[in-house]
Amino acid sequence: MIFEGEWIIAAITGRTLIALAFTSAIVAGISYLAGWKKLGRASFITHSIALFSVIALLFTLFACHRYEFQYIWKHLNNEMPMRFIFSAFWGGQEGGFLLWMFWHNILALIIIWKRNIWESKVMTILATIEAFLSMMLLGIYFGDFQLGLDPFLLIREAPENFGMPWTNSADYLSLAHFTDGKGLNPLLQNYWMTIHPPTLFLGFASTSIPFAYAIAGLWKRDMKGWITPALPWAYFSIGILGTGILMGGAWAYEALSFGGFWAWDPVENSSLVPWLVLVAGAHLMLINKNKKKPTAILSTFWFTILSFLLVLYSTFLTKSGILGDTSVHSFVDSGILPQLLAYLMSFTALSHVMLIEGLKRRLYIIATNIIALIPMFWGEYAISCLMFLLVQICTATIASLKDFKNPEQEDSIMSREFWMFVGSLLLIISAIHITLQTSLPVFNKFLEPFSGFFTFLGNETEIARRALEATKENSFALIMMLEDVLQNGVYFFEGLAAHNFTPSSNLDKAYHLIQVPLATLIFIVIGLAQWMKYKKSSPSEVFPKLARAIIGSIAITFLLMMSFTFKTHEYPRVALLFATSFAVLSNADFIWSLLRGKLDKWGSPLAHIGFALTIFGAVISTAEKQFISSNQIGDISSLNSEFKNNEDLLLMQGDTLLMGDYFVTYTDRRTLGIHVFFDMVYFDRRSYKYTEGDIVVFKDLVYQAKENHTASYYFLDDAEKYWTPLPFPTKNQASRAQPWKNGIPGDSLFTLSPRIQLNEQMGNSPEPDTKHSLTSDLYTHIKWARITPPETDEEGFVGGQQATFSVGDSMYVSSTVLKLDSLSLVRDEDRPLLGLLEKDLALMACFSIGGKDTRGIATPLYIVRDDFVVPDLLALEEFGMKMRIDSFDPATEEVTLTIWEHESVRSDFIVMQAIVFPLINVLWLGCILMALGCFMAVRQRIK
Amino acid sequence: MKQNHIIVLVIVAVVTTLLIASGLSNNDFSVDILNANRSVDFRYAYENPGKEIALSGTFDSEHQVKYDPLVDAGITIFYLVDSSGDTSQVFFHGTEPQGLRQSETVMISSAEVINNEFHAYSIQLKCPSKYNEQNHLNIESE
Repeated sequence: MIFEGEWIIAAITGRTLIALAFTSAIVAGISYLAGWKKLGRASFITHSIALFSVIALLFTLFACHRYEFQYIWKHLNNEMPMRFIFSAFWGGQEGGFLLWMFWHNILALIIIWKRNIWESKVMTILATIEAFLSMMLLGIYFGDFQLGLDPFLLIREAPENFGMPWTNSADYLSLAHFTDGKGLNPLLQNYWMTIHPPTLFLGFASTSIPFAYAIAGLWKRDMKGWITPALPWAYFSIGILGTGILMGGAWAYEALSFGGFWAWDPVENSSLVPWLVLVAGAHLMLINKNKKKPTAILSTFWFTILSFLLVLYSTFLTKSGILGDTSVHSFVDSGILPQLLAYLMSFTALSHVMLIEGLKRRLYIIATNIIALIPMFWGEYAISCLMFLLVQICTATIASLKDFKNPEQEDSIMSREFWMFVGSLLLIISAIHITLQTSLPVFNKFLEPFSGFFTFLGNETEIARRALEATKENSFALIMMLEDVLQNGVYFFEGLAAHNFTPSSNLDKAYHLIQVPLATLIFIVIGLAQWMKYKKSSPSEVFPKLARAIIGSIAITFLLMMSFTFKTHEYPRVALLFATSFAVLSNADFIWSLLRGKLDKWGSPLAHIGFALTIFGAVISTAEKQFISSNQIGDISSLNSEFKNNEDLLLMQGDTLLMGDYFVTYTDRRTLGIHVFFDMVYFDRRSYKYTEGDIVVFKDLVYQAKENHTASYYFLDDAEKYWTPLPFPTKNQASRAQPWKNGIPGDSLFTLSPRIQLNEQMGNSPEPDTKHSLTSDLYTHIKWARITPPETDEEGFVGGQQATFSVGDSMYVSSTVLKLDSLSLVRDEDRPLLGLLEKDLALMACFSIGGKDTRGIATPLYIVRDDFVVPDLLALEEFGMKMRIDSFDPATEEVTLTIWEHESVRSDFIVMQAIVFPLINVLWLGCILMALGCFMAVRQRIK
Repeated sequence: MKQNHIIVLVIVAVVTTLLIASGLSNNDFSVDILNANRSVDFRYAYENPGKEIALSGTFDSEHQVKYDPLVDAGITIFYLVDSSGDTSQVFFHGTEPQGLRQSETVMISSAEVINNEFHAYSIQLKCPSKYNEQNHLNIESE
């Protein structure tokens, strides 16, 4: 059957190219393994050409909007401008793999071009990785098992459309459904999506190069030779991956409403962990590079290898759907979980087998690995994975006991190596903690097969607890405690049996608790190690040189403690601020004292300064962020204080409210494309000047000014000095009293327009707007705004709001003030005038109404006729309002009314949040310096 | 390893412990190192009042969402159906989350039952993703 208008030839070409890429990668791997360098090179170059052609072809199809391809249909639509083609290209998993492979090929081609002695072995590994990656794009089905995701899959072939009648009609492409695609999620349609994924994927791809060198080193049993060529790659990887991660943070901060730049989300964490491990690995590589006898050589190998394995693990976590409910960004399971798992396990097994020396012993290990996998045939994935992990641990242990037991050189405690080693260990501990936290959903899977066992344990504990409870009469403290322990044990086993752990909501607290102390130590080590010499330096040499940095950082910490208030439980944070300042100053001093004019050697200290500044900025801006929108809610008197929300501000259109050091007015909203912008003008706060004799009200008490003065921010600061309380104000004084205010709006400073993106696919989402300045940022976003018009009755009146009044009460309805002046019985002579019957009992409420420009009086009636209430609806057209008295309570003399407002007079309002992030620019400066330092280090090592 | 290496490592360990311990604010000794909540259902939550839990479920569209910023910008009341099929009212302490009504799954990562009311403090929404169902094409009528 021929389908009209399909570019079927493109699909065939694309698939052929992918198949070619796959086979040529295998051929390249085998040739390099066999030592046929020329064939290896030729086939790898063939592979690269095939892959670049695949990418070019897919781009062409994107550019031509070929919606018969399901990948394009899902990620592109006709409205998207050309500049988002790139984002659309890597908007899905297929494109992500292609991007990864693209960078991987470029890096591998550089290795081929460089032609060093390591080429064959390194390229064997890289070609194997390429073969695995190409497999991800094959899209072949073996029965129900899907091998890879084919980017050239036609939409009529997609499994979810299987059996649909239109898949058999020759002209299906003329259906309205296929003249336009679904389009990329509008959240991703911004320039961040264009620059962030390529950077991050280059980072991911580059971790495979130090990995390949490490494996090659193990293969040759050359413990040190691989380090020199691998080191610049490791630095490169650190620089790029670090930039990619922080760019993700910048994206979150600038364009998404996370309310910060880092949320400890699994997706963020799983790219941070490989970076931490690689940093540790690179430092160990540096230690061993120039040493005759190696130190901690197994760790050097293992960390370097691990960082690549963790990249794979991160891919597995984020792309397999296993994270499910714990992350907002993770992808949904696309059926490639088994394949990703196989990929991860193969490389893990391979690396650990390589740690062992000797073919025979390696074969034993391989056999054990295979045995561990046997339970998979019965579907026992969790048990199998656990056994597999155990085998890896045993392998590493055997390797450390037998293969790496050469007498190692001991480092002096006053040497740079020693402190670099300590720093690396701390980084690894930090990485382990983050991994454990992030992997909760994985642990749940591991717990699954043991559910029955834990239920049993739980029940046994419960029985024991009951038995103990029965002996209540001898209520010793010890027994009570034991009972408590058992009760907790019951909960614990219950939890394990139910295997339903989820990360707690307070991620910041959970992570900071461990990470802040670790980081503190890491930065102290960074500051210390830079001044140590390799091999040995004497304490009398080192410590005087550190004096300046120590004094400086103490001064900085002191300054910070003066300008911000820290509570007792925040002392670890203060310690971290001290440590980061120390690391910055110590490294800066190092550059100043020893490296002036030697720009080549600036890489290391500069990268460390950058890292320290990044963390310094992160700590200050997170810990000292201020919700200036807090506690300014209009009328909260009627609310239960427990429900008081204290971070958001309700802003009526046209009102000017004090917010932090600004006055803010919500002026207008406008719709532009898929965004609704809310314009907010910020004004300077001009301190209010009181003159002697002024009378103010503050918290229901009346005060009189003693002298002329300028108001402080808080009344309490002024109260004693400038104000005399008037406990019994005269009528005249009371009428003169104005609510106390600290300032009035001054000059208009700037306008911020946070917006809401109208997104049918993912739900409307807020996007922030930020006022940047050198020392702090003002970050604002909309928490709530009315997007759909409110429900109204036929005449256009909105909803019906009930309120109770007694004489003298007043109330705001939008911007109109209602005040109940009097309640009176309608006099007999007035009845006919008001159309009342003789027997009616009628009550008249007299309201004075103050609108924006008009004032008036409203007199709704409460009529009782023959024991029934006759509803009397009073329309107030000039105020766009109608009202009705529902009931009257003679005992309290209160009337209850329902008030409706016309849609046209209702004021618009929004709920917004504004956060001030102090010193956040230090963080971005740190990022830039760190990347710069890394690349200078790469340059220094290549030279 | 030399003796002074061990001394250094011990010092490092002690300092870490001290810093971690001082990071726990006074009333917070129960913070787990692996700060995990159990994801449960309404029945468990109501049976264990005052215990911090996590829960995920689907938004119940049969009931109205109550959110009136003019009365209180910080409380949203809605109904949720949990994994066991039970429905309960939820008092969420925050503005109405964008996309609550359209969401596929509502993940409450911190909640507790107080006075027989289910109070939620932090919510994440999983919205219909572009990676699954909606790509199913049902155009039989054409």
